[in-house]
Amino acid sequence: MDRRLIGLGVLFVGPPLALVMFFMAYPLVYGFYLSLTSWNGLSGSPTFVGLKNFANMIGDTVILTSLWHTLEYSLTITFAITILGLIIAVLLQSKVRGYSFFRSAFYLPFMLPFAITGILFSSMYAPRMGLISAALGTLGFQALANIPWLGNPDTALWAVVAKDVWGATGFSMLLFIAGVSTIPEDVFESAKIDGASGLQTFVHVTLPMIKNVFTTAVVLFLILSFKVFDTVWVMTQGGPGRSTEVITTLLYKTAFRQFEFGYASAIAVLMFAIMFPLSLLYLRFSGFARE
Amino acid sequence: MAPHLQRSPVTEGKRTVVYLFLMLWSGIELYPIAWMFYSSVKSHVGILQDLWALPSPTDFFPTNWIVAWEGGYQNIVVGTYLKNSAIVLPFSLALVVFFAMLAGYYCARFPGRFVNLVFYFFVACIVIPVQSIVIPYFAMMRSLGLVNTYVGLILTYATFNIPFAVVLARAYFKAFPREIEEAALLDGCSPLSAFFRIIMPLSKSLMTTVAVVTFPFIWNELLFALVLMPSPAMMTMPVGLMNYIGQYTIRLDYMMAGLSIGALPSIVFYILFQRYVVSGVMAGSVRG
Repeated sequence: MDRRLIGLGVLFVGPPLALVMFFMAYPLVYGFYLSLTSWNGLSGSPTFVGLKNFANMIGDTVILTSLWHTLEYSLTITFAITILGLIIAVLLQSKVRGYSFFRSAFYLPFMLPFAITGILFSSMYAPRMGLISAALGTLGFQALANIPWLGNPDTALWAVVAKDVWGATGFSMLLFIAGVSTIPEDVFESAKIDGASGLQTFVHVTLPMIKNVFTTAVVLFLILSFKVFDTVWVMTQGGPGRSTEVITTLLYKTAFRQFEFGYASAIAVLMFAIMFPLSLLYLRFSGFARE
Repeated sequence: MAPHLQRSPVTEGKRTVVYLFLMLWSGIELYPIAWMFYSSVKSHVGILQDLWALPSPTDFFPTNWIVAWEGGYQNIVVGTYLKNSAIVLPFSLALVVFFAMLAGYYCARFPGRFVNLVFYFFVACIVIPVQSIVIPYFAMMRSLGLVNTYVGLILTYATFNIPFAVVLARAYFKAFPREIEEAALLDGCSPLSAFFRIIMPLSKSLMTTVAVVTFPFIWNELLFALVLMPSPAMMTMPVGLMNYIGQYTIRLDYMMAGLSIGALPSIVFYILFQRYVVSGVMAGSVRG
C-alpha cells in the first residue's frame, strides 16, 4: 500500500485506536486477571488465587438472586415496552392529528437522565405522601395508597420495573415507528380495499412485514435492560434487603462497599460472559455493521 | 365517492378511542415531569398539603431554585454538579466527533485487511458491557492519578463512545460522493488537507448526528461518574443529585428544584435537536 496512505492511516486511525485499546481493551483483560485474584482494592496488590473466586460463586445465592432479578427485570420490561411501543407506533402511523406532539411527548422521558427520573419516582412512590399513592387513593384504591412500594421487598422490583417502562416506552416507540414506516403505503391501501379492519391489518399485514425490526428490537431491549444500573441504584440500591439486587448493583457493592475487587471481578467476568456473546449475536443478526 | 373511502361512524368511533388512549398515555408520560417542575416552585408544606395543586400567588417560591443551585439545603450544590457535567461534556464530545470522523473516513475510503480488522475491533467494542470493566478501570485510573479529575472522566467518556461513533461515521463516508475528494486530489491537494479543508466542513450533519447521539450517553451517565468522581466538589449532575436521597429531613421543594435544574438541559437539548435525535434512533443506528 502507498506509503503516504499508511502514514495517513496511522494519523487518522492511530489515536482513537490507541485510546480504545488502552482504556477499553486493556481493562477488560486486566479484569480477567483480577478475577483470578483476591484484593481489597485499597492497599497492597492482588494476590493470585486461581479459580477460587469462581468456585465460591457457585454456592453464592446472592449471585443467583441477582441474576434472577436481572432476568425478571429484563424480561418484564422488554415485554412491556415492546407491546406498548408497537401499539403506540401503529396508532401514530394511522395519521392522527398531533403526531408530532405525541411523538415528542412520548420520547421525552427517555431523554431525561434515568438517575433524575429515578429520584423523582422515588418520591412519587412514597406511601400516602407520594404522587402515585395519592393517585391510587383518589381513584378509590385506599388500601394500595399506604403501601411503601419501594420499601416492601415484594413490590420493590416491580415498582422499579414500572418506572423504567414509563421511561423506555418512548424509545421502543421510535424504533417501531421506523419499522412501520418502511411498509409502503399501497400495502395498507390494498388491505383497506380488501375490507380489512384495523386489527386484521395489524395482525396480518403490519406484524409480518416488521418481523425483522421486531426481533431486532426485542433482542436489543433484552441486552440493554440486562445492564440496568442507574434506575435501580438511585431508587433502591438493591434493597430492601436483596429484593432489587441486580447484577450491576451487586458488582458495584462487592467492589466499592465490600472492597472485594477480586471476587467482584469474577462477577464481572460472569456478566461479560453472559452479555458479550449475546450482543455479538445481535450484531450479526441485525446486520448492523455489515455495510 | 367510492364506499370504502367514506368515513363510517365505526371508523370515527375508533379514531376517538385512539385519541383518548394517546392523550391518556401522553398524560402519564408527561405529568410526572410537569409535576416535578411546578412543585419545584411551591413550598414543601404547600406540596404536601395539596400534591396536585399548581403554585398559587401565596405559594410561589422560585427561590427554591436558588437554594438548590447554591447548596443552601444540606450542602447539595446543584450549581457545582451542573458545572462539572458542563465541563466534561464538550471535551468528551469534541474528542468523540473528531476521532470518529478521522477513523470513520479512513476505514470507509481505504479498506484493507488490517483496516477492516481495526474496524471490526471497534464494532466489537460497542458491545462490551462497560459495567463489567468498571473495577479494573477504576484501579487503572487510580494508579494513573486520574480519579476525581476532569481529564479522567473526559477520556473515559470519549473512549467508550468512540467505537459507535466510528461505525456511524464510516457508514456516512461510504455513501459520500468520491468526486469531491478526487477533484481536490487532482488539483494537487494532499489527502490530509483534502479531508480537513473540504470533506470535514461538508460533513456537518454527520458531526451533529454523532454529537447528538453521543450526548445522552455522557450527560446521563451515572456509574463511571460515581466511581471516578466521588468527591463532592467534582460530582457530575446525576451523581450529585443522588444526595437528595435519604436525607433525614426531606424537603420536597428543594429536591424538586434540584431535579428540575438537572432535567432542564436535557429538555432544552431535546427541543433544539429533536430532529437529529429522532433520525439517529430511527436510522436503525442503535447501540447494543
